[in-house]
Amino acid sequence: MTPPDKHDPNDPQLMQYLLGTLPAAEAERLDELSITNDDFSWRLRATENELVDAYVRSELNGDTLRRFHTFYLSSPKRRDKVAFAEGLFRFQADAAKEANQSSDVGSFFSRLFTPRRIVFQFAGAAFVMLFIAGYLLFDNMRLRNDMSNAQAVESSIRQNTQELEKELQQQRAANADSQKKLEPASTESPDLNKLDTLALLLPPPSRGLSSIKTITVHPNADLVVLLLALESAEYPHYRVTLKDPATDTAVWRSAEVEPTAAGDKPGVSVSFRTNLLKTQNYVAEVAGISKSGKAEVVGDYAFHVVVK
Amino acid sequence: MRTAQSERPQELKNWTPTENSFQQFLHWLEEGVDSNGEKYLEMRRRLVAYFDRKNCLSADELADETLARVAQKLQEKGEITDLSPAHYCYVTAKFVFLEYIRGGKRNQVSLEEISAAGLPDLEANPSFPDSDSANQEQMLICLDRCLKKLSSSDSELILEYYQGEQQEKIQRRRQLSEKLGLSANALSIRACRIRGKVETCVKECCGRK
Repeated sequence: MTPPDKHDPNDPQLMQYLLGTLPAAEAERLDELSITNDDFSWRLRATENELVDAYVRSELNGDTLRRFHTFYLSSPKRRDKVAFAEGLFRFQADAAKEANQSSDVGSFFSRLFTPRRIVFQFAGAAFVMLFIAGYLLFDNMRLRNDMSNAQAVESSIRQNTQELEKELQQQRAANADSQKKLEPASTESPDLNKLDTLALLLPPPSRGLSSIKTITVHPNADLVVLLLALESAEYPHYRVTLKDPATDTAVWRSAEVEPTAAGDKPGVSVSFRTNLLKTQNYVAEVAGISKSGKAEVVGDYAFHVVVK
Repeated sequence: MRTAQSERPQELKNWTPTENSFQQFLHWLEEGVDSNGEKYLEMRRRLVAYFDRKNCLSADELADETLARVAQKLQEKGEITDLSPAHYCYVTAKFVFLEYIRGGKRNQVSLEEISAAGLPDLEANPSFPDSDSANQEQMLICLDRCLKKLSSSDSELILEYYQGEQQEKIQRRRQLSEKLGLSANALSIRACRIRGKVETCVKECCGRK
């Protein structure tokens, strides 16, 4: 097919050609183009379709409408084209009517669930769920942390308790050994009514110089009873240690005893065998024992022993 | 190819196209590009439209006569190189038309003959004569059937392209061309092709030719 002619007619000319009103010479030129030129041939077909559609939609008027009736519709083939265009127009109208009816029914739901609203609703729900998930995660972590802290504290307490119990047992064992080592006979409860006892009452030690009390021990005496007065009975138990002041060594140690009355003051009373004593000075160290077992020296009571 | 034997020149009346001559004619018409017979159908359509615009009632027969003469000439000469196939067909068609109007049987209908025949006053009653309700219903049924034969894209295109009036129609076509990535001209040609295909299908469905 030949390339497009440089003098292509415009649409009004095509309309005239289709309605048979173009001058003969020009019409002949377009006759040739309609067969030999591809582009013109398609343009002519498109223009003819537009003309027929305009007639069907009642868009033609005046001379164009008259010419369409008298010339265009004179051909059976062209009447077939008009019939097809009418059918297509009705088909589209019916389809549009059905679409409008269905859109009215669904318009309420389409307004409620517009794509935009649905997107926002989903976004909102997703945000809420994300927030809840985040809160639960945080709370879970906090609870786990608290639980691990509680377990650590419990473990520490258990360990401390075990250590304290162990220390207490050790101290008790040490006390028992010491008591056995220093005064095997102290485990016995001497019967003071049958023994020949010597008693010595020593006042609370004072800061100033004071004379040392002397106790004369006869060889036939069995026990010496020391009654050591206290300023106050602060402790529930006391322990007395008999020391040689020259060497600062313990000669004897008592068991834990409870305070008693020593005249008008509280005091501690202990007894020990006279064969422990020599002619020399001694010191009775009094230590208060607290409820926790801790010992604290509350006073040193000095006295002189003469063995005759 | 159909031929109007009674109207042909004497020397051509005894010519019958053969398979070889027809294939030769197709090959020459397609100018070396295999169109699977589309070029032949398009040329025939253009010739029918040409004769129809000339108000020839037997436009189909005249178009076939034109193509037969071209095929015969090609077979006789072996080749035709002085004109392009399309131009040669046009020149032949002109001769066919001139012979037709000079010939004894004049099938051409003039405007005066139309008025004298007492055809309905189409100006007063613009409704198409053949468009009675039964035919219209049949048309709609066939149209629906033929549209369903199209691909979904072609069906959507043709309904969208010819929808609306005036400015709305222009706007729709602009949007359609942007959507499909086609120029206005390309879109118009595609719509024409699809419409032509549907028209042919509807004619066959309605029993018309």
